[in-house]
Amino acid sequence: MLTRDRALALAVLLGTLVLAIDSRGIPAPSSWQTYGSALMPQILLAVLGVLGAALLIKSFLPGAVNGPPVFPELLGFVQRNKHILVLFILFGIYVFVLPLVGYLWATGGFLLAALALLYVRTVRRALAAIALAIVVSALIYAIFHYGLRIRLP
Amino acid sequence: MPEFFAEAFMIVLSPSILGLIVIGVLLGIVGGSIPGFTVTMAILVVFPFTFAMDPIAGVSLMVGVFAGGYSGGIVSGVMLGIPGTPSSITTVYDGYPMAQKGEPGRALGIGVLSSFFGMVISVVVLVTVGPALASLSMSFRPWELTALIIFALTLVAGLSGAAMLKGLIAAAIGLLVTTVGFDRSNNSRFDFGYAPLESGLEMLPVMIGVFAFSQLMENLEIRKSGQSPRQGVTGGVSVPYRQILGDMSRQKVNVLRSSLIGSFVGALPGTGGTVANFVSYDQAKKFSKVPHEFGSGIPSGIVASESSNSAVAGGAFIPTLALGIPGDLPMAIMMGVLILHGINPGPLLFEQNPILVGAIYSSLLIGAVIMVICQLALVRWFAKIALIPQEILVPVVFVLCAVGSFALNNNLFDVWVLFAFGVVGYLLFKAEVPLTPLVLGVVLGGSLERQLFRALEIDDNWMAFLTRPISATLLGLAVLSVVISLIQNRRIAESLRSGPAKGG
Repeated sequence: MLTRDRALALAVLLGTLVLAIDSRGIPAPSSWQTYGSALMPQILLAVLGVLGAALLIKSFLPGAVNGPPVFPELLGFVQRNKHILVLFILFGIYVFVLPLVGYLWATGGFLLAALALLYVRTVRRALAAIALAIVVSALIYAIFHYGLRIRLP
Repeated sequence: MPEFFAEAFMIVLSPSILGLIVIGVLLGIVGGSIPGFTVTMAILVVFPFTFAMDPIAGVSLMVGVFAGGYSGGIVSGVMLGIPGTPSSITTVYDGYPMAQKGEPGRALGIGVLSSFFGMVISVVVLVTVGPALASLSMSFRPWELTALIIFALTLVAGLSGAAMLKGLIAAAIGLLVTTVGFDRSNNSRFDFGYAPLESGLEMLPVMIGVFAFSQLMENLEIRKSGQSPRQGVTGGVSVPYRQILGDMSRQKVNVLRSSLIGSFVGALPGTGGTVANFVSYDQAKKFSKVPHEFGSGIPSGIVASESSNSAVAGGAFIPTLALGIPGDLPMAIMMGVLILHGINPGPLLFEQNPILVGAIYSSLLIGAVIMVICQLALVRWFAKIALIPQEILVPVVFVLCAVGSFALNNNLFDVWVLFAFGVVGYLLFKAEVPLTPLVLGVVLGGSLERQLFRALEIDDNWMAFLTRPISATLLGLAVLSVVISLIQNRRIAESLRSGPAKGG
């Protein structure tokens, strides 16, 4: 049964394997170096591999507390917390469009969409969300652009 | 040093710096008073605003946020029965009952004054112990510094409250993150042929992504699950100053004990206000003549909690400034502020930047005074702010995180890093992996590799780590902390399994 801890352990081991393979491409130490650029990553990957394996083994020991099975819990989580997944997607879209449409439009759009998802239930709240989206985007822009002289996209 | 302190004090008293401290304190109180927001989030949100400032201004603003944030938790704790920050959990035990008895002003006043004294005492400890520890650590060579970082990471992993293994995994992941990109030999690592990765992963977007997304999403989950806050204390808040002064005069020993506990707990890597307030509450109860009254709304409980959690502010600076090892998560971010401004915390800081060190001391003291004034004058408004819905707060904070990450280098890639680590951080959080060791690993990874290589360049014999006494002791302590945590975790697991049968 794939429990939470086993899924974590497998993810750690998989990630370690991928990075370990990639670390073979790190240049070897030059003639004047005793240890090269690969030393630290390989030590850390070895440690991570051992820890991941230990976690996996521990999950099979009698009496281990592993957490619930992953897939049923994942389905339940998605059903209960769709808004969180949508919020992640919205943020990803926000970052994608940021250089395309600029900070003000992207941020205003993201705030409006996120507030519509999380907060808007009545007409009054909808109006409040529009006002918030405009004011917050403009305020942050003003502070960074004029106050701190940091250019935004 | 005293002459530098005087000079630093005068710089901090200038209108511009003073103004920044006031802003920082206000933002910190607001952040600390909103349940689920936490002082760490307040610091993360304010951090980007320091980019355009000089080091003293930036640090003063952040210290103001500390000073306000650690005391901010009392507002919602007393008025709503919900701790604003994890370090105010025990404040609720007595603060909320006192408010329910019709004395919210008394509870807030006691808490605010306790926070003030806690912070002042912790500054005294910082001023005394910090330079002494820095002098001691001047004798630390690369072997000792490597061992110290390893010990700090294992300690943090063990104290995270979750399974030790997961804590160590988190620490290792954090260290691994710092190996991405060009290293000291100009070799690129783990770039997968993607040019932006050659510059490595910036600390700030990683830290914000890992911590902020998981914290904020958890808040939304809690809201969605329908967990409603307790009935808040309504009505006016009047502060009975004379009664409060009388209360505090009877709490002198409690204040001192709790503040010292907070200072020293804060100095231990990975602990922080949460541990401090539980330890000092427990000790206050043990030393009290009326332990049975704790939890019913007595001043002693509020004093113990608030003195200690505010004393953490000064205590956590001790290892940060003297050793370059952050005492807790907010301090890890403070280190990020210093590093961003080209200042490396550590024993040389006291020699190379004595005025900056003096500015930190001064900002803490002045921040404590400003905190008291702001809290007592504006407590009604802070209580209202504590009611801001998470549904509004979360998107706004996301925007601030994105803007902050972009503003670091005017580079959109950093915002993608923020997003990626936000997803990773949330998944780790759901897997019950503690995130503090990961953040500390990110902060300390560069130092660890640097010191390790320095040690090996001087002497490529690995046994030197075990033959040098201080290094061997620190590594031994690291192993011991792992073993003790494993034993404790096993005991907890056994008691959980046998608990229902025994309790029956």
